[in-house]
Amino acid sequence: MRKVISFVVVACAAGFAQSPRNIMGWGDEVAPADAVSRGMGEAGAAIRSDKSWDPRLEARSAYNTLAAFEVQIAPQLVWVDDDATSNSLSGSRLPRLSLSVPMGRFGHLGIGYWQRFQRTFEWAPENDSSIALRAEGGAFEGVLGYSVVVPGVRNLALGVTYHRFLGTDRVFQEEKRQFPDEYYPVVIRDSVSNRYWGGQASVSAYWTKGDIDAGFWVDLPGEVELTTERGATSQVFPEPEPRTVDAPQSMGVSGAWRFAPKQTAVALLSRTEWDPDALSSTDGKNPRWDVGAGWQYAMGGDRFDDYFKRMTFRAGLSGSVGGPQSLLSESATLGAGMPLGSMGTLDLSLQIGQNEVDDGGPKLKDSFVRLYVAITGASLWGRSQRSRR
Amino acid sequence: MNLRSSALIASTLLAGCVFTDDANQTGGDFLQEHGAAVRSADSGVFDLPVVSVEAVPLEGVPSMHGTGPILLGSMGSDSTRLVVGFDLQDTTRRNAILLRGKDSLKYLRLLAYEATQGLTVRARFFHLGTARDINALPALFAGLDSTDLAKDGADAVLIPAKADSEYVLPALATGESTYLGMPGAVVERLASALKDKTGWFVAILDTRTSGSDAKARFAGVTLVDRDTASTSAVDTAATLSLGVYEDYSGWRSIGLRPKGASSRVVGLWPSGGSRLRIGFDPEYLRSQMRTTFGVNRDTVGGFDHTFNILQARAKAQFASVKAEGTDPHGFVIASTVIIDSGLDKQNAPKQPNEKNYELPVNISPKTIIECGLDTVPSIFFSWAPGGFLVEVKLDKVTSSLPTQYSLATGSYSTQTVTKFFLPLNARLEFRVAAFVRVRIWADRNWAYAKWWTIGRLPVSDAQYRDEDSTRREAMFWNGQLTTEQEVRTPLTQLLNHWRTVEWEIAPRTSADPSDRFIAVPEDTTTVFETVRLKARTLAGGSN
Repeated sequence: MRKVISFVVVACAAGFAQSPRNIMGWGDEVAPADAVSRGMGEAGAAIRSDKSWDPRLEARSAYNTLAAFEVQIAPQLVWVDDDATSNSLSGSRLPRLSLSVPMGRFGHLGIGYWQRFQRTFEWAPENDSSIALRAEGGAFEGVLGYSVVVPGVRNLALGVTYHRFLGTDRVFQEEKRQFPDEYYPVVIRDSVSNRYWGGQASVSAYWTKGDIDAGFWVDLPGEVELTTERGATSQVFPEPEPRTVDAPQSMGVSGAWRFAPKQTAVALLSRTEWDPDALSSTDGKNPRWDVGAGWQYAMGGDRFDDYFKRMTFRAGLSGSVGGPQSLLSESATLGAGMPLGSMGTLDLSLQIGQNEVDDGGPKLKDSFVRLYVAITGASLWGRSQRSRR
Repeated sequence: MNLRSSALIASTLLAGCVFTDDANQTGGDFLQEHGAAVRSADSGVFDLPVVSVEAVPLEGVPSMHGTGPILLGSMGSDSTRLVVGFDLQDTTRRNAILLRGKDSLKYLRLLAYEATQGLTVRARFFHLGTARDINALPALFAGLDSTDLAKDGADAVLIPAKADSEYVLPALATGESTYLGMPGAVVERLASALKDKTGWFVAILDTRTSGSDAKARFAGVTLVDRDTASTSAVDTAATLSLGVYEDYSGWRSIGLRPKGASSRVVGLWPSGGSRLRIGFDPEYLRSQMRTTFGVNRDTVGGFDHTFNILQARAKAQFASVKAEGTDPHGFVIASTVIIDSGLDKQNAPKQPNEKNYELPVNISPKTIIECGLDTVPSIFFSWAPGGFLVEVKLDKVTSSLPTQYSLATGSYSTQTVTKFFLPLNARLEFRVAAFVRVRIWADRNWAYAKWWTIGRLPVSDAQYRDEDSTRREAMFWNGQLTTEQEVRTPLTQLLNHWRTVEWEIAPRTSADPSDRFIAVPEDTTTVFETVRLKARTLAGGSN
């Protein structure tokens, strides 16, 4: 565990330089996929696991047997293109932290942090060093979930999850101008800040039998209090007044099929709808559709086999289209799961893809290479050494 | 090294890596389209939509009578009047030995402070014989004419000396004196009054050299019996020194504009000065800017945040500029944002000896607390020929209120009392706190106090070219009729349409209280012709 903490500290020290696309909506939305699912086109929400937890499909975790702490960190390299120029950026994100606690016949408890939206980016004009635009922060979620296998129906589990939206994002602009006939430069600062506070519940169901697993989740209506505060040099603004908007509401289905002893195919389809009042611009397509499909090959070795034979390999494709505003995203993933100790895993998922803004305005495309590094520490909590053996 | 260790190290290294973290430079059009203004400043020249121009007294210019060199002279069509008063009851001011039994004083002696030019002056003499007559003394010190006092029914208390004489004052070297021989009627009246030790004797000197820039500064003025040819400031002959009125020496140099001339000037006189307060129509300026820059309105909560003004230079053309000396004179542009205002009024005293009328300035309790005052400021009016004697009482304020009509100030424990003579229908403006300005005026029926709470300290935009020098374009000197003032700071708030924003253009005050300056705008209804702006839209315009 000490190694895990050291890793997280090092990872968090990484820089954050993201695409200007993050100015749209509530920022760049990060999928909550777990370590295993990342390598399968982020479509493996329904794959049966003994320690994974997905904040959307809490019901799946009712079958978990291991207590697990999962950390994800994602260094990335992004190429940003518009009609005229291109640039490369690097940075990293910390998509999620989670703790999954199975409680035997009492069900399962999941708790997690999900950096759902990220506003972070920096921008400066090519030929004018006097202006700088910077954004930081974003709305994240604290998630608490509970699930239980339905008594008497051992193939069916139900789950409920509470999502607490919170966080702040800010966009800063600073312009410094030096006029030739003045000694003192003029510095103008503008800022736009959003504070998020709200809650939403979701319910999920998971069915598993034989080689087939399937899950379904739906977000119940929720509200988010959104407070936008603006400031600028020499400007006077009214006191910010919070406005209540509907939380983005999604529903989705996911399935997994073990079509061979070591191989599994997964798929996911989800739909997310936005309250037009929650967005500054209602341009674009609403709702957004996300789709993904993936494959996993588990070597299936036990602790006495070579390390390679204990690894798992994954691949997948994913895409989305729609709001907020008009985004078209495609990506492909390759992943590998490596055992850490007797029960932990290190999952690496390489994601290559692109996002395009297609709203009729100036073009912006960012192509990215992202490496999700997920470390999952797992243990059999509440069971004696003898029973573990 | 096994595969597991390699994977751990590799992932740690990758997680911490930073490849090129310069700020991104791609996507400017995209950001602009999504409400993040990333364009450099745009510029344009606009008409200034002026809705009001008024001349108000220059604030904070110390103008207590009896301080600094005594001035007499003219500058262009403007002039400086000298009023000197002698307290005939005050035996400490006279040369007692020589005056005993010999009560004739025939000359007004003027002792040069510096080498002076020759002047032709008109002299008038008054004897204010009774306590009732002495009530007219503040009016004369304020520059009112006896005819003005007569209109106010005060002629009964004035006793003219029935003499109106013209004199030619010769050019003098420093320390030299010249002697004005007073007419016989005046000498006789003065002798009689000296014998009785009653009242005040007042001489009013005006220049006859309109159109010239001559002036003379005197170190002292005394009444003397004869020409002693002394170069000393203290005569050995029969002498009467200037009286003491409200703790100050009894003289006053007052700046006067010719009758019929516009009062809408930027002026600096020994007795005070004038500034121009200009109000604008923000909507007109806003619409001009939107059209020029081609941007849409951006409003949040009823405020307009379309533009942020980086630089604004307002151009004014003046018809004439007269300034003391050859050094350029600077201007200041003070800007005021009005938060709140109110008007209070009270019956005015209509006759002498009527009790003081108190007029409280009813600013809100919140403002009182914010200003550090204990109670609302109180203004007391009492009748005087030609106007009113006014006292302004402020709690918890230690500084006095110097204005062109100030007579004296005094402090009583935590209270400051400033005395004014307020001419009939004249407006007097002062600040009772940094953020509260008050204007008082009165006719014979009503006394008024209008107050404004101010949201921004009226500090001028810096007109610096570099650290130590003022922008040449922002200065004035004789013959330089165009000025461009830097006024960006309040202009954005003007466009915000938050509150009324006013500009006040005033001359930089001089360390020399006898410096004079007068600038007459070419168009006194607008003063400023255009404003040249560099502006850009606000970041997050549509966010």
